[in-house]
Amino acid sequence: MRSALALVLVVVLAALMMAGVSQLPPPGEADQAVHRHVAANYLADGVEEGGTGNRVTAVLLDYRALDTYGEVVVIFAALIAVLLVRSAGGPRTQPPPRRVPVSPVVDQVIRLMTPFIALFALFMIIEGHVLPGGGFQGGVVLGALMILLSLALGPDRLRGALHTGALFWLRAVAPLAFTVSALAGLGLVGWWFALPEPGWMREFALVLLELAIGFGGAAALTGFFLSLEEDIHR
Amino acid sequence: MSAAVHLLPLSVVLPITAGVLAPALFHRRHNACSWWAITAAALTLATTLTLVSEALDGGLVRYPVGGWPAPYGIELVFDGLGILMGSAAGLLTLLILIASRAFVQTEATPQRHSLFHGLVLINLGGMNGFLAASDLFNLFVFMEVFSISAYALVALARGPVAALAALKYLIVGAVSSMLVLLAIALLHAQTGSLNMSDIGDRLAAAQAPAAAGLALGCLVVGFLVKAAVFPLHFWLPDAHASAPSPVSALLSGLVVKMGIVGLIRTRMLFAEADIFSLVALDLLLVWLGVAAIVIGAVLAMIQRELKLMLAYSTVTNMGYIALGLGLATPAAVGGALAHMGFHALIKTGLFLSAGALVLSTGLSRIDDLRGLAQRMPVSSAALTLALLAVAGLPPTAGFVGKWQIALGALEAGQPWLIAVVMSGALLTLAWAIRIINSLYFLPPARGQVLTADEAPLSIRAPILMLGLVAMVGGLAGAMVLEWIEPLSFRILEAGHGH
Repeated sequence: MRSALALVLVVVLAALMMAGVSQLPPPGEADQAVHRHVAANYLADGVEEGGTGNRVTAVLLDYRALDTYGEVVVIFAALIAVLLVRSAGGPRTQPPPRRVPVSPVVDQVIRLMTPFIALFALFMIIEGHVLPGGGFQGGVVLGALMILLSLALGPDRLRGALHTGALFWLRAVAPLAFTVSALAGLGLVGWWFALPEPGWMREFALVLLELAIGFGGAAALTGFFLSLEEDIHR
Repeated sequence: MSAAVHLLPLSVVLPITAGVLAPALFHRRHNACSWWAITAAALTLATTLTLVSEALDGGLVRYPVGGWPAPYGIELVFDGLGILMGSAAGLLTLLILIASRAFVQTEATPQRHSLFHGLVLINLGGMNGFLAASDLFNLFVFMEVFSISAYALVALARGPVAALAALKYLIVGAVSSMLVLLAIALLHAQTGSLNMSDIGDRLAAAQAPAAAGLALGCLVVGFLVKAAVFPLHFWLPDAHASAPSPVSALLSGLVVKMGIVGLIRTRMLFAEADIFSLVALDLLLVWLGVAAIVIGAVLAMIQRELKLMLAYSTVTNMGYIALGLGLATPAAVGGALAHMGFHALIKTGLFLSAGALVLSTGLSRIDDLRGLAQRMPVSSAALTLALLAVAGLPPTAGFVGKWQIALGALEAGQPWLIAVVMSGALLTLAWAIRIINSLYFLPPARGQVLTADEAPLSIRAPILMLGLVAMVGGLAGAMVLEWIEPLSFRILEAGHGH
């Protein structure tokens, strides 16, 4: 009975939503408002005003830097939330179980690929302001690499690699870099979150922000994974 | 443009940066963290108050972030909602942080102190950003900032109820956020803009009333969940009652009000777009408000746990605010806005003083707390003052909003709603008197009551201050109503200006 009611409700809601969405302009038509208003301005002037070859980066780190700041704060808060929930159980009570070693093939492949993956991640982060990609994408690749490594080498090797204090700083690096850049904009250009002038400084700020987003994101992903891993073995 | 406008982004960046730094700086020195957070909150409050005086002198404070003019960049606007709720958020977060020293030491392990303080500061920055947002996506981002920190803060409490309540809050909150995001996508696809007044100007030209209506529906449902307006309040009682008391105060006092702020922004956007009449939305708010007032008060009355009663009372009071907005007359909207600010004060005082009683005795049921006023006179007195205010007796702070909403019902030609306003107040008074009676006039039933110690000064001072302000706040009602008059005028006149 309850599931029948739920089904009716879902069907009705879906019909309402489809009715609404069906009125939207068809995608890809150049004369629609969505292509002609704000976006057209970004396309026309984004390279010159935003000071980067990549218009997506211009939107993310220049025109709408405040939103990106909010997003890295959300990622940070989510990581703190996970840490908070996990530490509810207190420290690990039993010794970690003996790890089943991964197959030597997997182990060797991960070790072999590590430098290449790391290089690719770094390339995406550093070149993010001129090419597609950037801190978020590169950070995810870097985080995935950390997770792979913790599978191959064991999570405790990874945990021991960084001092707890340093780890907290690394997790906070993206929001902090935005604060520094926002203040630099205020001091040098006169507006919060403006990218500093002249050009070389702007380039420097962009690379700094991409690096911070990348490393902060990787630290957050690794933190999520290690927390879950610890929980399973509690 | 004076230099003071640069304080608007500071009111967001300052608390967030201090919150982000807290775990890194204080993961070993747990006690210093509290002072760090209190200092940051005090500086944020000073920033907000400077903005308030700027806004009261010269109208809206506008700030194009990064120097980019709207709609190409993000514009922050400090308006009446900022004056009202921004100053409330700064002041109440500061008091909550002062009081939480004692709570956190008992309720959380030392490793979690810095995480708690960091999240409270991030929550404050998120609320300040949300209040100042004039860009729809920016609004969404800051909604996520204060929501995610709020989910985590509920999970800070010990015990399985809190963990489950936090999970429920997280799932319901995430669904409501998705609805808001969907609505933003729908509006952007039709107008190509994210700035709220720009969308309002351009929405009619899109000629897609069904899509616009769907966006309106998603925004309204999403924000009604955040505001815990009946019947979307079901996540609130568990989350607000099982959280640590300072967190309950923060959530019930401030965070639910942000849902109403979102609702007001939505209404202004669609009034400006002027594609369809908003009478149905107003009618919906009136009826949901009526239901929330009565049902919340009845449910509060049958609870046995002190904090659950207070949580259900939030459902009642969100109902009053929804009713006032839905009536859409100058007096009623002014009353709803005043009640938003005053209820924030009252509910913070209620949860902190109730928390003090629960903290000292370890007991949470009303019947177990009998006779506690002898051992804890200050905390009981503060709770009593706040209880009288939440019932809305004149001249308490709770009276102003209810009176104005009742006047608004007359203005709107619906005098029967006065009976609803009155019955909510009477039902609230009934359970408030039950608590007061238990504390003062019944003999103790439990041993813990006989040995309980009065709360430390760090709790007594804030709760006594909140209790007194709640008790006599109604005397400042005329001044507050005058401050927010331009805002209620703007809410009602949106769309009629052009």
